[in-house]
Amino acid sequence: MSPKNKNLKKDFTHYNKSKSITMNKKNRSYVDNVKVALLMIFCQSFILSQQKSWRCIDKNFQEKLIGPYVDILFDDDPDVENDFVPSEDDGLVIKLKGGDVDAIYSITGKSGRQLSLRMDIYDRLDQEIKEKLLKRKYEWDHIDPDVVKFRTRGRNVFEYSDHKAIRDYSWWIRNQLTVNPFLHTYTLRPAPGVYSLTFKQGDEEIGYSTKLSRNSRLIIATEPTKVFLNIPWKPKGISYGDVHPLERTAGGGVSFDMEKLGGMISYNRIGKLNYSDAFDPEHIVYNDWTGIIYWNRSFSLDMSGDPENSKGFKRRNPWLPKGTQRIIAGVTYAKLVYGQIDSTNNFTQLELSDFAKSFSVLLNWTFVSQPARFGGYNDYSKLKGNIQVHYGGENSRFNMGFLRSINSSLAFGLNIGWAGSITFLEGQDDQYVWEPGFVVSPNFTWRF
Amino acid sequence: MMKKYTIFFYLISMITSVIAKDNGILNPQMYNVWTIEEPALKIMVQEEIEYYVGANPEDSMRQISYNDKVIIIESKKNPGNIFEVRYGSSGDYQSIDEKQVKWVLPKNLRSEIIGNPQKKYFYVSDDSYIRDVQNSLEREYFSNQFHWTGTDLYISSGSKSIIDRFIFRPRTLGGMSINASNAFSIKVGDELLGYPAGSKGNMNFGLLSPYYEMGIQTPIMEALADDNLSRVILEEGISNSYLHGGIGGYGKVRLYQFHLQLGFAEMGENMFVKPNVIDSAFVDYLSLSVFAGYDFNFEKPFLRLGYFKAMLGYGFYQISHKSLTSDNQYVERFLKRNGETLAESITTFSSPMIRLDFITPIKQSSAPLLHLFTQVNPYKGNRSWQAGAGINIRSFGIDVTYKHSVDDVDWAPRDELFLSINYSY
Repeated sequence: MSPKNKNLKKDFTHYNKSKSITMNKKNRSYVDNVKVALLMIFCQSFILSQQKSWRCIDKNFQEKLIGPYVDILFDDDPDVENDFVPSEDDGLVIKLKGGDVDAIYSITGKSGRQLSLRMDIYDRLDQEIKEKLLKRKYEWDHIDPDVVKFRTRGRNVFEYSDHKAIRDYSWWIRNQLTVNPFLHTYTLRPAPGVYSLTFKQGDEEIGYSTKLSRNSRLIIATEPTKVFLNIPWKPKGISYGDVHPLERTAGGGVSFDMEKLGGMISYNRIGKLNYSDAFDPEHIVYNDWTGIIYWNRSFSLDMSGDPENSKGFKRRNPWLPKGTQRIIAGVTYAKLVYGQIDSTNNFTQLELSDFAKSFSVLLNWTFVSQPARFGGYNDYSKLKGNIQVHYGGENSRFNMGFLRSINSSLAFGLNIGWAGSITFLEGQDDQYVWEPGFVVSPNFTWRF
Repeated sequence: MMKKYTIFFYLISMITSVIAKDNGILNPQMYNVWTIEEPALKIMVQEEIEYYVGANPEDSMRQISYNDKVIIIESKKNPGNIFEVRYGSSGDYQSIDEKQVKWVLPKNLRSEIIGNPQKKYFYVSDDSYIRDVQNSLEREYFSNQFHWTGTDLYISSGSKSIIDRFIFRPRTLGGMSINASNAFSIKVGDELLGYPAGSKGNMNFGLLSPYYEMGIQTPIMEALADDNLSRVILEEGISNSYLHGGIGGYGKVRLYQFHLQLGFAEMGENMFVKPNVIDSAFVDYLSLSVFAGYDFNFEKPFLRLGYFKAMLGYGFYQISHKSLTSDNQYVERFLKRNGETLAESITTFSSPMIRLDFITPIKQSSAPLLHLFTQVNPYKGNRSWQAGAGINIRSFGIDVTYKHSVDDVDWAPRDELFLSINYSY
């Protein structure tokens, strides 16, 4: 990115921030900070997402706007300093808020000097030129052209609808190869990134992450869809906790994740599980089938303040860096089978979970910090965090995790999973309370 | 004999032909033409077109919709520049000329779309959009055939539930315009697996989009008491041969030209299941099915008569055999209707599938006047083939499917015929 573009981006960042911070820092208590943070998460980011900006690269149009602007400027203030007078050769950056022009900057070609045009002068310009500015009937480009170039390499163009930047981190990866030996998860996404292949452990989609499930999954993914096989391979990830996991099964499924809707359906069978291979042959619980449907929405998140608008005050240190957050809300139906296997490897089904034991409400919040670029078109974020809750009458689950990047290649983090107990054969002599347990899994990631 | 058929098809194509629109036809030798298929890139283009159309109502350009094709035309005389962008569907395309393209799309996005020296996103080269604008209708029909819809409403009647196919794509919700990217879907049967219309026993209720389909399976809800005129059994192999329906789920995704579908069902205590059990001694139902297919679209017309599409696929399914006892419990069954012993209570079938579709040129409507197909599912022990025809006039159509089962099985007659009528809007 050229220094000019960097400056320009910085300037815009400051501008955005100045719009969002209005409170007097001296009087702000800790509680207020939390309130503001929450308000920003759910409101400010939405407002920011409504903003639109671009740069005009049409010399003729620039002259048509800047010429009359300078005339009115001199009428208004004949002694105006040269530094506040744009040149007709200057580039123009236009920033909208809602449907109206919020700010216009003129950029001097060689020096990259940025000048914010006075909006009171702009308002006095001829209506026709103002309309044409909004109609965008001239050649234009994004403010940071590199963003477009980078994003379209089959990787991240959804970013423009505030969706894909964060979706990628859950759906697949934003680089060519990621290795998580502790979680036993490996993803390959060869350039140009149209397909990916993932091997992973656990059933985190239904809340039984890492060692809470003995399943492994092989996934082929495209931008909107996935096909996967569930493989009854013995889990090899490293995690700690006292668990009674979902038993391993063979099966498969499909899933999709679009702009607003996502979902998954999978089907499993206990198959040819051997008595000696079972975690607890007397008390086996496995996932028979799963259906998930969810709504999702993504927002940009910027919790830092702007010192320029709060003179004398230091910039607040936000508890989350600038990035993108995503909220998922949906329902999950995970049918469970409880049974036992005898020494001749015959599985006997004792109970099939009913609605209360299968149905749960799904809520997920994910955050990734603004990505940085490495290795040509690869992409990584310094911080990723997620919280997922499955809330059901008799089958609640909770998962959370974070991943902190040391540099573009290495990251470490921690995942926590907990699943509540479910009672099978309730009220009968052989009643059994299944307690999946609590698990802590370190995460160590290599990116290539 | 062959000559007669050729004349017959030729006459049909002549009757249905209209003069192609001059508008939009360019010399394919002079242009590179492709459609943007990368969903993410398409959304970027759509957003910019949306803004431009909204900001310039005096240009009377129509607004882009989620399902529109985005067609890029590059002149070979001026490589590296977009000559024209078209967007739309069903042969109705809005054009953005070279000058306007610079206003509508930002410079670097144009550069990425053109992709010098090469395009690094998913696209499909297809000069039919400039060679014969009408040709894109056939392509779209084939593309939608099993996966999506070209109309906002499609309803087909032809099973015991009266409806055997229903697609409703809402464009407004509570008075607000919405992106028509999803549709409600009802479907009876699974033709590709080898069980057309009511022969599968199940019906699907779910959500449908160009990329996925997902929902629940139930037994066919009988709206017709006894006489089901839409299914005609020509020769009964073993008496009372049919599949029962269970409760379960289904899902399907597309990975470009490849698609994969999964369905499963279980007999249970559900209120929808037990009342539909006709013969409690012999309850056969499709408990698991997986099908994967790949489309081969032959772009060139066949003797100006119409267009072909082939599909190669692989099907896998399991039929579960159970009996419903007097105390209302399902038990596994190891006997066929003829008294022979079954090796297991679940019989598994898997085999490749091949299918060929032919349609006459599509003119002003969303469906061809004539659609013919043939399909072979050579499952070992359950071989079958199908042939069918559909005739569509304006918004109405009638479909006939004939299925012949080579092997005798308890759940399918030897020869059966399925009839349905449809309406689309």
